[in-house]
Amino acid sequence: MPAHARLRVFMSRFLFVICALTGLTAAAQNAADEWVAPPERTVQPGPVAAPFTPAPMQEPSAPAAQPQPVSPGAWPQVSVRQRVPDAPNRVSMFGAPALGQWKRGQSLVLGFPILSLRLSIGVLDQLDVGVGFDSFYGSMNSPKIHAKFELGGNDMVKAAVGLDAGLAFFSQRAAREVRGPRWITGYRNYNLSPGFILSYQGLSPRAARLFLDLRYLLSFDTEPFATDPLNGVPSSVALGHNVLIRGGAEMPLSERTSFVFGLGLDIHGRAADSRVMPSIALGLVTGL
Amino acid sequence: MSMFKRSMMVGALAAGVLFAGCVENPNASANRSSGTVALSQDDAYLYAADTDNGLLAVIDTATNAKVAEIKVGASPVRVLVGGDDTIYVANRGDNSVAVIRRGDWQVATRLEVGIEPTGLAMTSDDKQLLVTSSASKESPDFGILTSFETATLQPKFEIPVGPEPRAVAVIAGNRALVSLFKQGELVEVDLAKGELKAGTGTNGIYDRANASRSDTSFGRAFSTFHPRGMSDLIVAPDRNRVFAPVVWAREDAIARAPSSAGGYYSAGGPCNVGAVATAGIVTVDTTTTVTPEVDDLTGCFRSGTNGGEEKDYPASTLAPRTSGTGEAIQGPTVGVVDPTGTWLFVVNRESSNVAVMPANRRSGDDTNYQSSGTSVRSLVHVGAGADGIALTRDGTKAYVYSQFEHRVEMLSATGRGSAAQITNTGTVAQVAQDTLTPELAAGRRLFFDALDTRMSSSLTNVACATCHLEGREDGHVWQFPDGPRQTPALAGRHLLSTAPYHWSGEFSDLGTFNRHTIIERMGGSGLTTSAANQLDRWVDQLPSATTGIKADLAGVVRGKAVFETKAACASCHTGELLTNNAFADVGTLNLNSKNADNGSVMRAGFNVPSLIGVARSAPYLHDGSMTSLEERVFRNDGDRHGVTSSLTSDEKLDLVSYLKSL
Repeated sequence: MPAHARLRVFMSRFLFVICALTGLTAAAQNAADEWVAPPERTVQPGPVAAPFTPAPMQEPSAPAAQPQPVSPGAWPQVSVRQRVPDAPNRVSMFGAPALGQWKRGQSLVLGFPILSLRLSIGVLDQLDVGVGFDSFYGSMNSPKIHAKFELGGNDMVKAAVGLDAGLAFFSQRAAREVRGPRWITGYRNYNLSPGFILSYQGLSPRAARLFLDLRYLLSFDTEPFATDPLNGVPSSVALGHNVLIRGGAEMPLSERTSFVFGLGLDIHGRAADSRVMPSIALGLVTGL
Repeated sequence: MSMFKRSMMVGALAAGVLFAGCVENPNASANRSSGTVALSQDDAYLYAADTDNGLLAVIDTATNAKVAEIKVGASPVRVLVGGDDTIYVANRGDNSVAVIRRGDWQVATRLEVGIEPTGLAMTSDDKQLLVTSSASKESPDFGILTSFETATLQPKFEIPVGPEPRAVAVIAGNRALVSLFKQGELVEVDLAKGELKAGTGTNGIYDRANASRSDTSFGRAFSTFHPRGMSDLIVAPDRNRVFAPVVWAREDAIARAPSSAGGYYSAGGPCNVGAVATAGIVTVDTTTTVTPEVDDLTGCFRSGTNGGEEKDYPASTLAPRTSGTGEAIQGPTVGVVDPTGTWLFVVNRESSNVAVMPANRRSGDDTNYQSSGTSVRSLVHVGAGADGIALTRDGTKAYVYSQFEHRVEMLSATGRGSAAQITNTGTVAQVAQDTLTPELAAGRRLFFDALDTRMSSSLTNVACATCHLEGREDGHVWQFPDGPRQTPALAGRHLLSTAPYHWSGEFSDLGTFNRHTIIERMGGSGLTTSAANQLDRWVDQLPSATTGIKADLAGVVRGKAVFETKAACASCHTGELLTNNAFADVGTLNLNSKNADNGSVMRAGFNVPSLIGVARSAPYLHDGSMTSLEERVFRNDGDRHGVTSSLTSDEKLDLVSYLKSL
């Protein structure tokens, strides 16, 4: 790779990091990536217009002479900047499409209630695996592993199944927590969430990739406590059954980078948790 | 190996690590009982010790039938069930611990311990039984902790632990904590070495509770409070936290208040919670060092948070969630933490109820200290004289023993969340009947009742027993309007034969004394003559604290001679009760300085007190200015209090020995 190309790649990644940190997601689009080459021809200047001189007033005269044919070389030369057709964005972390074998993907999402960082790699054309880190902004931190298997589809609609598994560390013991991260997220010490993902993307190279992610979150609470006195000793592990619904779009900014926006609704099964909790996510997905 | 296979193996390994932590709840076994009731390990039997009758009742919890009744000894006060289902009963009245094997239902053997054993605990490996005795048989100055090997029931060690030890608890790290009942102090013991932990002088409870006492930034004097009556040590299942019920006794000057406002015992509790003697809980972190977690009660800052972070222990004062509804909390006696470590149950004898509160927080949907000033979630009424509680292993039932009614009641819960309520489902078993006459039984109830508005205003809610702990005293010196007054012991002093009353002796008969104390001080409406008689007769027959020292009997004999002749003590402390019921100025009358004695009621000094049981009633004199009998005898400038200047040191020591034998 020529030096200038490496420099361009480096600058692209640097810009991505800066943008991710500052939240200026739109800045992640590197224009240099979108144009194949600088224009080779420039626009010739047109003839200079003659100064305007009013015609003298005169009586109508004989008809003017017939126009003479013009040779082709006499036309002014006009140069057009040609755009190469956009390559479609195939890097999806939230939608159904798999990354493809040995392709990588990363995402950083700032949202409520979760801040999420994910790194994925395609181990097969249809199977992505990866690691991630979810945080309720410090008061709950959850390293995770995840996998996604693309079931198939067509050019526009794809389906996949996914599985997330992780353990969560909480800043407070469960018995002390009052409407904290457990109540809000439904997470407990260990969490397993299989799900089904459906996505739709138009044929346009920059068409937004809409996704719908339905998950069942099974939480394993290894520090259950008696929420009410004299209501019995809970078992050593208490299970939580939750449904997570996520919908949104990955909006490509480039061939490999998308802005992601999502809304969701968490339905918690444990009485100790909030019944329903909305969620929102804003972030970036990239395959850089 | 392909990349795919490697990825799969890493994933499987990560998943294995991820779920390897799913282990059994370590809180499965815990101290589930305290005081006079306990459950067998499988909850099949409930054991209830009846102090008056000297028996242990065995109740089948499936049928609530009494299956056995075992005469265990005099005045059983605490029951403990070991891991092998052996039952141990501390008999306070005959200085022994009865050992009973499950199914035998008879006393297998008796362990000889010190004077008045009151505390029992078992190490977590079930190999050592720990017994606290209020006093040593060698000296009433200190109590002892005795360790027995449970396999052989032979003593392993016996160590002095300080004056009037009461409860003992095994904590993490092969250590034990012992509470000093009157002083409200904790003593830490290394069980491996069988000795006190080095450097355990004061435990810091007082300093923490009065942290802002020297803060003058608000331009006012702060009230200070001393913990008294530390009757139990309630251990959390992980043994890293202990809760100690106490009474916060006010130390600074107490102003007069009209009876209509609750009397002058009503005002000035910690942060306006309760009265001058207020029920409380001291939380002690025992993870590494023994660290009390106590609110600063002197500053009265709303102390639900600690630098913005909510405190993770119950409020240090116990109060009902709603005031003015006839509810109160007084006389915390015993308690237990539920098997999950989440809920703390405290039995309050003087208010006849059980307070339930979170053990590790003070706010939430169910309780809010910031707004209500209490972290108590529920308050359930129980019978009179409650002094025992046991929780079932499954955490659904609590059994409470009402000593004055000789019956077991059961508490259970209905509903969940905001609808959850704890209810008293009623009597499970009537264990025994009164041995006292109806009059004495009624008198005892009056003495211990902080809710009876004849005795105490609903604004005050104190009982006689709040300060005269168990009919004795709390070791506290009160700054009353008539001067400093140490709580006098009543037990053994034969109230009916020792008129006049009060340190000042301003009440020539019990009628006027009762009216003054009950109406003017406690804010009660007053007793009828017959009710007052019941109260007085019960107090009159109380036995004194046992001293019974074995050591230096010859010195006692010599000291008696010194007492009666050379030192001239018997010129005032004479007769069977060792008082002439007259007055004497022994050099402690203070008519001039701050909080002086009220000269208008002082005639010729102070009312000469009886010396029965004096050894266990420190501190001494009306102002508590003498902390020991040695100090009292050796520090007597000008022979104002007996003629001691002519005594040799040996004679003084003999005199002290005699006083300790009374």
